[in-house]
Amino acid sequence: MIFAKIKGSKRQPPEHRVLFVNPESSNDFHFYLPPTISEKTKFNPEKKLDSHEWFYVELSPDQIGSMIQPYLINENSSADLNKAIESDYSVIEVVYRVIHSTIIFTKITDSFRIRNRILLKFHDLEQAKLIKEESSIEFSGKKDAYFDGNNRLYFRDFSKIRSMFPGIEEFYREATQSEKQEFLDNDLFDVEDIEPDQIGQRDSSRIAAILNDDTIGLRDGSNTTKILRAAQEFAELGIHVQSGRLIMKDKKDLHTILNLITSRYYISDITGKKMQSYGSAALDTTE
Amino acid sequence: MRKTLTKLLLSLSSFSGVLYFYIVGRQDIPFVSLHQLHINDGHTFLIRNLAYLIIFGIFAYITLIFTRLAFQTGETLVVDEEKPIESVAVPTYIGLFVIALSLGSMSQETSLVVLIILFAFWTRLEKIFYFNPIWLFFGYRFYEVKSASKNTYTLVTKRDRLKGKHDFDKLRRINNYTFLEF
Repeated sequence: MIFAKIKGSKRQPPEHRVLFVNPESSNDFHFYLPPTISEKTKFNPEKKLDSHEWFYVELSPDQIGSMIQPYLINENSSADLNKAIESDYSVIEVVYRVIHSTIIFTKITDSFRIRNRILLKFHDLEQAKLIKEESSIEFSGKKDAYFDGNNRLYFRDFSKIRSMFPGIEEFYREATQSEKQEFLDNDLFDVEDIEPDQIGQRDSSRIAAILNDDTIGLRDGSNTTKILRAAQEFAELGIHVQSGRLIMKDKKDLHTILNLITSRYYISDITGKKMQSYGSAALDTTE
Repeated sequence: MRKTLTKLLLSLSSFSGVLYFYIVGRQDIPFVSLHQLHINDGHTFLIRNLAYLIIFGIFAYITLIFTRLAFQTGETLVVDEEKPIESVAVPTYIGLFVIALSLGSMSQETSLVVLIILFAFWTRLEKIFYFNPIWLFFGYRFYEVKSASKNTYTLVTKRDRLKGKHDFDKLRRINNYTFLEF
């Protein structure tokens, strides 16, 4: 089945629509099948891919839950989605086909949208005709990402797929040794028994993301008060605060502190309960 | 275009029971109007009315064939709860029949305007709820079903005595709230 994800807004979360019910019965979509991936390489933003190569990232069950599941959730119950209508075409941001838990993704950007164009069309032995094209999407079937049904997400251009998978920023890059050391040396932390080379891949990526994110303000200390207040508010996590510093005894503390800094702990506005999220991304606030 | 036309045919077929009772309720159609039964030959009256019913039946069957051609199969649905809805829909329909019968006492122009307004409402209603009583005679059942995501739909299927959890994978979408299995 072929679906579409449409953009969310401030007031409305992203939604999914049914685009084409039974592509197997039509020749129109014979080109929109899983890509043949002969050469694959683990995602490394520094690396330039050859034309036949694909990057891949291996997703944890939590990441599959937050990034992939929203696309798979209606595979067995397409009736729960509305059919795409003409007004949806301007807000479709992803077209995707689900085949037995594998998913082919195509990102739709503004350059693919056709808005009421008038074309001059030529016919053999006939005079030229003006053809009015209604709003539509140019669809070449180009595959921007592919989920293999297990735990690997393949893609070629990280910046292109970034908005499609909330939380994928974690894979962007790992912190270097010196960045990890810089993180641990920050005045906000009182580190006891952690060395940079003990820090795992996921936490390392998140350190890189935190250091690169000026809005978190770890480097310049602009949000220190807020981070300390959050640690006290979520005291049940066991993060100890002493003399205005967070105590980081071991890797477990490091992981919890990284969660705290990246706003993975929050209080639900609706239930008032303290919650933990397994992925987060800033909302697209453009309308 | 094909879908729009099929939807119009579906609406007409679903509304045909009302049309039939409107015709029967008219006072001026020989051998068909109920009002002329006492002055007409009873057998001809019966045969003509049966012919009307058969025509509407054939029309309903044709709309099923058109539906098969216009709406693709392959929609999926996981159902947690089912409730037959004939007991709710049929009385509503009978109410419409009574209205249609009573239109016969109005002038032709007035009754046609009322009929058109009724049909317009009917097509609006069909965007969220679809029911065709003639399909009952073809063995179809109408269920109100609740999906695993707690959404409610009208499901038209030949499956009888549906209860409990069921997976459907060959449904046709008539509208966003009505699905047909055949």
